[in-house]
Amino acid sequence: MAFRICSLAGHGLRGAFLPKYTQKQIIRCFRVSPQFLATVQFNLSDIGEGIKEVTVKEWFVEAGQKVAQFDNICEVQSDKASVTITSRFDGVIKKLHYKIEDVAQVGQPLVDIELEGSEEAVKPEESSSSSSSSSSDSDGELKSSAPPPSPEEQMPYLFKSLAAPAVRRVAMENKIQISDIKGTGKGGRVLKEDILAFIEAKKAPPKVVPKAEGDRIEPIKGVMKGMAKTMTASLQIPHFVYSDEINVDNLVLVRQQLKEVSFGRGGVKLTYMPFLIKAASLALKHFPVINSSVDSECQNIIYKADHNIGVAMDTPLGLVVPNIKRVQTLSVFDVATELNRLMQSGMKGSLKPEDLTGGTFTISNIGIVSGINLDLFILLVGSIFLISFEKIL
Amino acid sequence: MTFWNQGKALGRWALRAFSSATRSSRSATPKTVFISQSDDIFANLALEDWLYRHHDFSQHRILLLWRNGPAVVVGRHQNPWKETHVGALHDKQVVLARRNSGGGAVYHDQGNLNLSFLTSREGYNRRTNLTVVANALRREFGLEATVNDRDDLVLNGNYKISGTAAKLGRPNAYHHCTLLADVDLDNMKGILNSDDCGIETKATDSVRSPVCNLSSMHPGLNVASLMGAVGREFLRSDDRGVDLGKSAISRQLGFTLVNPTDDWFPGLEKSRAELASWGWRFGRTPDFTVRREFAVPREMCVTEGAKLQVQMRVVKGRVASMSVTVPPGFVSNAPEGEVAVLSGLEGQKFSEEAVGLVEAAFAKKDKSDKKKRFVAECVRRVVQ
Repeated sequence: MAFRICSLAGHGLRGAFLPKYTQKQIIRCFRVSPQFLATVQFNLSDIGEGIKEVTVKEWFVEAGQKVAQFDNICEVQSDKASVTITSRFDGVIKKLHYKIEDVAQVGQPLVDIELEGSEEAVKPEESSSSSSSSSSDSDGELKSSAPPPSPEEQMPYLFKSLAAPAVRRVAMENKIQISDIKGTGKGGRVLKEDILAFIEAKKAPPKVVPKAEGDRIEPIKGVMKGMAKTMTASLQIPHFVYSDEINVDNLVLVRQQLKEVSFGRGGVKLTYMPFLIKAASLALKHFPVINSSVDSECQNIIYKADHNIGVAMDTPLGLVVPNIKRVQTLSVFDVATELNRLMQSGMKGSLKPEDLTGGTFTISNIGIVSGINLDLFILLVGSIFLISFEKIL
Repeated sequence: MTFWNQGKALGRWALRAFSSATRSSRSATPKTVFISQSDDIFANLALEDWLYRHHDFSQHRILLLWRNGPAVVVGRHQNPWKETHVGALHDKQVVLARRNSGGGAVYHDQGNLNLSFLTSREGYNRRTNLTVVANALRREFGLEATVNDRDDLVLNGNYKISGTAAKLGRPNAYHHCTLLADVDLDNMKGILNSDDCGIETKATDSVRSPVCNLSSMHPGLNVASLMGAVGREFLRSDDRGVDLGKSAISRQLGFTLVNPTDDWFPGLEKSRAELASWGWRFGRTPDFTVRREFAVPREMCVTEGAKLQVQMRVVKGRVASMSVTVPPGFVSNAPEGEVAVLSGLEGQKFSEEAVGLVEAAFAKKDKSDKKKRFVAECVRRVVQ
């Protein structure tokens, strides 16, 4: 039978998710009439890929309906691409230029929107009460906080007061009032850095905020958070991969013979792992440099005396890598006993901190998820070597 | 090289080697390959949707690789009854799903690999993605695939091995495609039928092409090896699909196995339930009219060559109105011509349930059992 050594990757999810929206998209393809409270013709913007026309498939708004910037207006389809068109402005839909199944031309008017918000038509109670899903409540707030008059103020539908669209979007998604944030930009503008600092200062855990109401938000916490942080840090380390197949017929035979003996000695389950762990330790005796780590400035190599061999395991709480201490002093049976203990603790979620720290070498078994031949992997910070085993065929 | 130069070269090499993995070269956004551990079509579609809605792709690109058990996946604006025999799917243990992107109907099974290239709206480029896939096929398997003008991947200029669809929104977009690695093509052809079923609709049509499996050109090719090949090629290419060399792989963010569950992606279960619901899969069908004619058996009607016509108007997957036109002589003591079956049918799902109601409605009229059954049978064939 052959035994394949390969490598494995794991990577936790990032924490904060911040969408970006380039400002240049705002000032494109529209005509602005000189007076305020204008009705603007919102043209179908360039879809890309040289597409000149699309079919209107679905409308999400109707005439007379209030819309906010970034709300979905309609869905159009061009051959195989389904494109969601979102509103550039806050306002009220005045006219839809197409019916469903009509062919819409790029660059031609799609809807007419009567814009909200001008100097005299400020209705703070109206704009703040219509705030179910829109950012117009931040508009109301902004107008009431008297900033110095600037071009932005005189043409609100161009610049939307004191924050760029990307910033307003972040504010909307994190349910923050822009007026609560001190802007450090020109004219008191709230910049992206300001809002990020504000979020940091609130010390909210990095959360994913789904757009729809009624969704369950669960911050990444506990074991998964720790793992996510560790793995992200691990990916800072440069990697090298080696892959090989080894004939392990003898190992299979020996294990068969010793399985019952081990079980008789206190119910210890003997898998291939204890053998591999002990073999790794013996190998480390010959090549101590592999049982070492490099400090964060890459100035020194620290040769570790103990072989604390970590084993990656899947638990209900996520991926954890507890380690077996001082394998160089243990017999295969001792290793098996300790491995059993760690696995049971892992399944119960009761691993101790000392089980999880101090690892110098890691073994991972992806025999369960076999068949995938991957070339990539991840190292725990603090060790420089990881070996992973695939299926025994 | 002199000792001094060697030192400098070594130093430079050391700097590069010890660089952070997240610092990308100027035109290569950091990339990750996600491999879904689920083969449930709805969970995977929900996962793709979750990433599209919630993830920040301004400095990141993801290639999501996934596969499912047998399923027919129709495009967002398609009519499932036109694309397949909906009634027969259950017996064949094939599920029907509707995706969020446009395009035509495809058949998935375990021999089909799905690739979703998720990027920001600005980073969306279908041809680049397909070029990367073609490069992977060439490099790893020596297969010559080209991208045709319909943005399909074709092998040797003839056979389609992949179907493409895309969804663009703000701020994100995705382009996904299939790859026929080792699909049961006979099953597929039987399921994706193009029989005339009498449906008039403006729903998107599927365009059919001759297909073949990659494994027929390269024995031993399977979804697993394909995943590795495409993933590696994705990681070593820059944002325009240009190969940066094998060393580029290690500067990227690698492969990750993901589990589409609420623990990993909060809110995903709700999205999955929505995608699996009748309302999304069938209720989203653009309104259509279906009209079928059936030859009346000779013994049921005096007129030669008589035809019975069933017509239904289906709105949002439910019967809005239905009429049965019977030929003269079919019904002994009821008026001939169009017989409007009453409002009991309206609002019913366009399915087997409607047939039962027709049978009940006709029980009132004085008709032989055989004729009743015949009409019901016609309606049954219409809804399938």
